[in-house]
Amino acid sequence: MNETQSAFDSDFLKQLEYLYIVSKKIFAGRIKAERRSTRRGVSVEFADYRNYTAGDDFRYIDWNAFARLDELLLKLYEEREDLHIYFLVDASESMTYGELPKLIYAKRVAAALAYIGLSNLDRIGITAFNTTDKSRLPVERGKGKIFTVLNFLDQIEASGETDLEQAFHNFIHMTKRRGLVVLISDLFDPKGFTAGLNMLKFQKHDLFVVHIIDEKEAEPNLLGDYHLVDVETNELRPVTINESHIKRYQDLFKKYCDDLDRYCTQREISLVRTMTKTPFDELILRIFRMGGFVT
Amino acid sequence: MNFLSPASLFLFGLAIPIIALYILKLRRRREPVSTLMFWEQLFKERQTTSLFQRLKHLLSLLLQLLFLALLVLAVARPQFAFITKSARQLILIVDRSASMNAVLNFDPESPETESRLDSAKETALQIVQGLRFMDEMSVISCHTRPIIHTPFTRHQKTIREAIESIEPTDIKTDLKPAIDLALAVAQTKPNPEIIILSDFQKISEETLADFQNIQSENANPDDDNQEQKRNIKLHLLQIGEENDNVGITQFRVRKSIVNAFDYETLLSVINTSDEEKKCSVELYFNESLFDVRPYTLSPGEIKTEIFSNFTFEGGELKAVLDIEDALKTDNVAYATLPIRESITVLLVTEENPFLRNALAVDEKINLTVATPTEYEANTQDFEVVIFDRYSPTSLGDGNFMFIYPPNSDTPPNIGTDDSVATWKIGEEIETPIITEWERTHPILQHVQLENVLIGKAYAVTPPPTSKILVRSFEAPVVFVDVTPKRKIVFAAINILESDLPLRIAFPVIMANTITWFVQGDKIEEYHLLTGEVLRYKFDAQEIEAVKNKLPQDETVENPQMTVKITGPDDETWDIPIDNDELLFDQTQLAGFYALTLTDATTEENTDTDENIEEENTTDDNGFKKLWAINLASETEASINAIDGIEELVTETELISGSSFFRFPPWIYLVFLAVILSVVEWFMYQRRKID
Repeated sequence: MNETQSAFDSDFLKQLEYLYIVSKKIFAGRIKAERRSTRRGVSVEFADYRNYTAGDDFRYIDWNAFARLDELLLKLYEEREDLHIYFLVDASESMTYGELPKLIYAKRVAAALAYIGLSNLDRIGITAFNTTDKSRLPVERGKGKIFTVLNFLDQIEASGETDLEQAFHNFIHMTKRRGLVVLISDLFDPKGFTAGLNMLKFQKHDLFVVHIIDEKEAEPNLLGDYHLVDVETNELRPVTINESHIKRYQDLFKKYCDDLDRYCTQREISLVRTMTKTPFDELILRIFRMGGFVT
Repeated sequence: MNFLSPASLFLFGLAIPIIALYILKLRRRREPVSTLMFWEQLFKERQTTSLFQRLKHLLSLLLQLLFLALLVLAVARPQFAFITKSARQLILIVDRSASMNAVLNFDPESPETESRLDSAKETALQIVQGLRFMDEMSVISCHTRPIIHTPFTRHQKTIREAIESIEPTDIKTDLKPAIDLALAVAQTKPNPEIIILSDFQKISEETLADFQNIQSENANPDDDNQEQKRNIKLHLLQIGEENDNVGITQFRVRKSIVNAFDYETLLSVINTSDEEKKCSVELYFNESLFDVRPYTLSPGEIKTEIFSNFTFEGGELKAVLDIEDALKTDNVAYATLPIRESITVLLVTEENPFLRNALAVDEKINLTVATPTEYEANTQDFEVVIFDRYSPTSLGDGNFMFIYPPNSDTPPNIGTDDSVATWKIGEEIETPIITEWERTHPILQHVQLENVLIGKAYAVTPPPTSKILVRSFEAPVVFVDVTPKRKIVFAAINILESDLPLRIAFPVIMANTITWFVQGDKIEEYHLLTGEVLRYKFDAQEIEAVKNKLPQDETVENPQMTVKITGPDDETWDIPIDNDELLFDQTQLAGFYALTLTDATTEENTDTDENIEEENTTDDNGFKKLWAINLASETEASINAIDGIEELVTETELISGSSFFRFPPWIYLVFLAVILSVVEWFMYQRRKID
């Protein structure tokens, strides 16, 4: 683990611009343009018809339809709005695990997605969560705020344990407006991930989960006698590990991931799982292609 | 259970450091993980009780202690009584007679050369492979007599070497002595088993009965000997299958019947197969072909032929059967033709034309005639001296014939040897009639003495050591007296007053007598059968030649006299001479055996070419004796098993493979320890044990 390792360098910044350009191409083929709201308002995009009621603005009556149908129908248009994207970055001690610490990887992912969001004139807010520190970047807008975002991400340090429910509870109370919540975490909460995610979902947030794991967590290369040390709690566990244990561990880990997949599918939560050995730009492109980041 | 090395049990003390080391706690490596929740879940599922953990821990210790126990027991070399009691004492008899040289599965088209003996040895080695570790085995080979290659031993390497050392011979078969020896030895052992590996082509009825008695469970229980034999297990393993064979059963040289100075050769060939065989006999003299005779032999036929009128002498005669069959040994036979040397004969007589002419007719006789006066004046060495109507006053060593010597009360003074018998001449007999004569004696062979008219004779009293050859009603007429240094033929008839000189018998008798004096039966002595003992008595001149070849070492008082015998495969033996006599019993292979003098000066440094050259050019004074050794056995030529043996030949479990108790217990203990260590390693790797 290299805690002094910087998440952002000049190459990273170049990659951000490249990713933005690529993301525009991808969106052009799929959803055309900026984000649309479900609210009806004033814009040029026709949305629907409804019957005229007293007090409605005459300017929106579809006179052509009245001529054909002899019925007053009011044309409705989509209202355009800017999107709030909240990044929840897990900053617990477990995120320091791995040759490339998961936290570094998480910061890069968050930075990349934030840059793209800012470029799309969305509003970006970042919250780092663990049991000891809850640093927060207020919602920012505009591409020029990217350095503020990067500075904030750079200053996040891992400490404490993972408590998703507590962390999301604080987030909800500090966030009045609904938006897209991008959760970047290993989700290694001993109490489980469902309570926390349920809380976010309950608040009508759109949820996008980036599940970061290290290769050694999925396939530990341990055989023999060990004292396993939990990096979050420093708890010791004497174990003697053989091949059957490893196989069973892998089964348990897979079951955990399968449970998470099933949970997200049932609740229409976008989920992308990645290992730290996967280049982060490859992950970003994968996110864009699967379309979950922009709904 | 006993231990051969009980002191080794103190090694059990090694358990103490093992236990002590085991009590020490294992230091675990620290490994940080991002979360323990999966590990907790994992080990919660497989949560073992502390008791099981302790048992698991204990199992590892127990495995190691068991490993130690097995090794210590192995070092202590345990012995189990039940194994010792069940140990067998096996006597392995391998037939190595001439018929065992037959090709195992003879096929004229196949180049296979594995002999029955090779197969027997291979089978014997398989039996050794299956021995239990406490079993003892003795290896005996046999032809006409048994040879113990190794006494009872458990050392399998020694047994294998003994089996490997069994060499083929050309000697005929006689299993009886070997079986008698094996039975005698077996009866002193608790669990004896006799294994006979043979082609069983010749077994006496007595031996066959012995086999049946041993194998029969209905042996007479009252017979103690039979009871003992019943405890002996007998395994008859037949080697080889039925094969065709044509062989020479006789090849001998003898004096010609019609001419005492010529040779005749008798050759017999037998066809032991069930079909007609065509072959030719090639006769070689000194490796030069001089005669070929085609033979057609019907099944079982023996063809005999006599060859005579040889123009050559003094060399090697060989008969070769030109036929491909299973047994090649009996396709060749050997004989020697001695050199027909001139015989110096002195006839001491006033005048006897009959005698002179009878002796002069043979070109091989170098005759000298002298009057008694001349004889007394100048005594020379002659091989044969014939006294006609004369008796010298003294007589030395040699060959003498007395014909009607003067009537004297005392025979000639024959020196100081008191053991020499004397004769006594009695009254004169008028016209004696010959009543009987020894027709088989060499002197009287091919002689007819019926109705011989004799004018005068003596009533002679021969010495007790003499042998009477011709007898009349009144007294012996002709007798011979043979002592170690002298041969005497005494004829008590006056041949000048007899019609004997006018008969054909007379020159024959004289020729026979001269031959008997000089050569006697020596030609027979140079023809032996394989396995017979070669004997040769050296005369004084030959002994002197042997002594001249001895190394001139003054520090040795009586150096051992040795001569060299060269066998058919150019194998040589240095044989000592005892009492001027040579005894050689290594006549195991058919062929020529040459006796020459040992050259001591070259024998010490035979490695250099110079010395070899010197040896080849050593002057042995022409001393060389040649013996022809032949198989020449009609029974050996029949190489198929005798009738009745197949019922006794049984498949035996002896060659079925190795038994469980092939090795001593300590090897099994070590084997178990190795297996245990593998199990322990596997379990440790699988974390079944700590």
